[in-house]
Amino acid sequence: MSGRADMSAETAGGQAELFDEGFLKKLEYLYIVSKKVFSGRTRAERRTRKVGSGIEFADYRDYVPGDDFRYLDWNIYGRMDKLLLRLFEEEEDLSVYLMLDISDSMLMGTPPKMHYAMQTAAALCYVGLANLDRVSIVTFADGLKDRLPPARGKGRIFKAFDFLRAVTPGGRTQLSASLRSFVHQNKRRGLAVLISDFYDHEGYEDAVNMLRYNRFEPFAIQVIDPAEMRPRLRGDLQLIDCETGEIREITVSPALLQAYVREHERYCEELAEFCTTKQVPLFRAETSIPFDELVLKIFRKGGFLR
Amino acid sequence: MTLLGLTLTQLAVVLGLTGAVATLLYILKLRRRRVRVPFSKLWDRVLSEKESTSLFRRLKRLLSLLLQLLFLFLLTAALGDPRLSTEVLEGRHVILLIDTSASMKATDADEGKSRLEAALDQSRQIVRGMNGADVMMIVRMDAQVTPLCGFESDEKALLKTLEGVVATDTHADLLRALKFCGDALHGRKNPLLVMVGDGAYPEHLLQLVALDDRSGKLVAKRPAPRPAPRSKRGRRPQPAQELARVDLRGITVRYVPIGKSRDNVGIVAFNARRYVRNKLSFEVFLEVVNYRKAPADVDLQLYADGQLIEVQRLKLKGEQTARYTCDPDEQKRKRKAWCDLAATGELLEARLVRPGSTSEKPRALDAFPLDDRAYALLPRRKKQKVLLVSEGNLFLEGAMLLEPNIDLHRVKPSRYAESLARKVDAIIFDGHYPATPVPRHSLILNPPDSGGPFKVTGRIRAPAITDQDRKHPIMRWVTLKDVNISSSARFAAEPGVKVLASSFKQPLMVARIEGGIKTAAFGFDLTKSDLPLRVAFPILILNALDWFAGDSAGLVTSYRTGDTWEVDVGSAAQQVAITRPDGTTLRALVHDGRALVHGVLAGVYTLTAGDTRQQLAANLADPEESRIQPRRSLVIGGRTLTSPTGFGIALRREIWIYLLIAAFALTLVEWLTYNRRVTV
Repeated sequence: MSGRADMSAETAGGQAELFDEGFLKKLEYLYIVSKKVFSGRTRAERRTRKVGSGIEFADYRDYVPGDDFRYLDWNIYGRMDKLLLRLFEEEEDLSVYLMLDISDSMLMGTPPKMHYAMQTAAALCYVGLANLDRVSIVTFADGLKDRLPPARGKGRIFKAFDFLRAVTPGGRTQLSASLRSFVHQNKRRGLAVLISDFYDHEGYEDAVNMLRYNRFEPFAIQVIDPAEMRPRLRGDLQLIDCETGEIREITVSPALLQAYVREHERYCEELAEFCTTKQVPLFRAETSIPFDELVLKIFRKGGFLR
Repeated sequence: MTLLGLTLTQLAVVLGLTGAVATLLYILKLRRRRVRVPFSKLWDRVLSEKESTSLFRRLKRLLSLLLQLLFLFLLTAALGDPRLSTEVLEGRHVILLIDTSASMKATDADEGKSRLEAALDQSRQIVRGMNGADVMMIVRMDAQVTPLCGFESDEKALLKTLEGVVATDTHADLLRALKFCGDALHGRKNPLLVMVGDGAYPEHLLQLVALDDRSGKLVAKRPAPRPAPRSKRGRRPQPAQELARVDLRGITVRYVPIGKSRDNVGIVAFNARRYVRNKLSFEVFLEVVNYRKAPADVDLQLYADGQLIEVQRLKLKGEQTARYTCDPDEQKRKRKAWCDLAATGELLEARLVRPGSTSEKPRALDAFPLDDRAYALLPRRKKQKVLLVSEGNLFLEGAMLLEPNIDLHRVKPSRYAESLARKVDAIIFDGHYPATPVPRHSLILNPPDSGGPFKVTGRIRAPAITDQDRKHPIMRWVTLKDVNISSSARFAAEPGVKVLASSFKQPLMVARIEGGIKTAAFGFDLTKSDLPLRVAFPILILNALDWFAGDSAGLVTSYRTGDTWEVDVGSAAQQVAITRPDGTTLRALVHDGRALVHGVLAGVYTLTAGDTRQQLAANLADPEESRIQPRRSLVIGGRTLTSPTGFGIALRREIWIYLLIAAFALTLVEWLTYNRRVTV
């Protein structure tokens, strides 16, 4: 198991390698899909409920004094003798919150799940920045940790890289507490992409509901290491929980191992069922799946990216 | 079950200690491998489901402990070296008596093996089947009884000893062997005698051994021992009274039978002799026995120095003993094939062959080829130069003129010189004896009272010959009864002097061998007795000359294997080199011109003493040994001997080996169940 400092360096190095120019170009064509329409702060490429100076026609309304003459529909006036004002959907930016779990459990796996999660976060960050969304990266474990302030434009991606490189992982996973802090601190609603292994001893349900109740649109990406699903353990062992430090003495037999595999699968299915019930998109990202395949194919196929 | 290793108490202590240690180690918590997991809650959920089976799990762990304790038990039990009570638990003193007599050369065992090879195979099995505490002595039995080792428990050493066991061409001296074994085993713990052989021993000898119930129950009323048959030749006395002392009571005797065939036709006697009147011719005596129940036709071939000189077809009835001699009565019914034979050679060989068998395509006559050949040596034909030192004695000259093989030279006593003596083979002094030593065999007639080779103590007037040594070659076929003698010298009976004839214990005729020189003396003047007028006189003179020449006409043309031969080497050498029929050479000391040779092989021996070289012929010549019919069950002393027990190789005697194997198998089971997580 790698140490935390090593983990940071490895993660940063990994980003530099993964995000080559070709991959970044592919990412430029992607687009984060939001089902809801959020009100943005600045004009961007997202439809808003605001009717303004966009280019996509939305509706007509009667002219009232003071309106800009340029938006009068003179053809209507010629046929019907009514002054109607053309309304356009104003395109604004979208707030995308990439919430990255940096607890100790994310350091497990070969390569560590944290590495994979960071790469995913970086990729999504780039996609958002390329589409002029307001992308913010928030790390959490037993509470909110660091935060990359919302940024727009591709040029900010290197700041995101620097941020990720500087992340210091560690701590116990407490999704509820972390997201409670998050919703209180972020009044601007938007997409909340939750990148985690969802190994929370207190449960993940409250945390996801917390986002929903506060009108965020949550996306869940469950990062799993195959070794966690099908561990290769034998014999008399002392299991140590990497977050709580709890110790279990156990003798692993093939039957017990099978039971564990079934239990892990059931845990994942419970998560998927919960997300389905709450209409929260969930993606299972196994670290054995190549990272670009996850981003370019699975996210697009699942409707997360377009 | 009995323990030969650690005692039960010691085993209990060992098992208790090791079991306690194993249990202690079992109770102690093992240091487990530490593994970090991301989410122990999942394992908790799995383990909570497994809690319902914890009892079973405990039982499985208990099973693991029981397996370990069982493993320790097996190892500890192996230390005890347990033995079945049915086995002989105490060490036995075993004598393995292997018959290596001539009959063991019969090739009727399985796979064309000889009986001896089969006996050695059986012996090896017995050696390998010994108990750990057994000690064994291997004894070879033929004409002599030879212990090949002391009481030995080392299996490898015993097997190596067996490698050196070979059969000889001699008879089996059963009773001497049994007596030796009895002496060796009496007073020892658990004595056991295992006889490995064909059981082809004379029936009357088997009844002269005393056994008890250890060796078997009485099967029939014990017949009274038959008197030992008197040997015609008197060469091998049957020591019946000595055999009766063979007491094997207190000793368990067992028998391993070898062989299965009685198919044999053999020569049991073969001799030849030259005629006295014509030494160029000879006659043979042959005795052939058909041991089969069916009649047999065989060809007898007679060779002289390797040249075939006679072939006869012999038609033998079942179990017939046929003698072929030159007996005139016999000749009336048979051809004169055995008389007046003539050959240039001296070595005669008689062969029995299957009719139609040729040297190119030899066909085995029977299962025992050893007695299908017999050898005999004719006395050498040599013209004897005799010097007669006499003033003139026609009686003497006349007697010697009868013999064509005598080259007689006459000389007056005044003309005698040692140089003349050295040119002849023998000298006859008539009333004279030189002052200088005589370098040749000599006969002195009427020697001087002093200065002669024999000490004269006085003279006897008109002695009557009352005793004569008929066994001496000079006195053979001679009767001196009622011989009138005017006066005779009385010789002193000194050591080394053989008295040939005496008058009331006063020697009148004497002989001596000293330094290889034979000397004889008659104490009276021939012209003053009527001896020259008797038939015995020429025979007496010729006997003396034949004795000088070594041609004793004693019909010792072949020796019998298994006996100790007294061979006249005719030389003053101190030792003689003996080349045996198999080519090996040994040396023997010569005493008084005779060498003692113990011959164990049939065939032709060559004795070399300095420049002198002579041959000997030796044959098995034993009708009992040629009777090769084996006994499947041997009855000794009226008890049927059974096969030896307690030597089973299949029932491996050491149980500890099986315990170790079981322990090893248990470790495999433990390993398998552990790796399959059955016992964890």
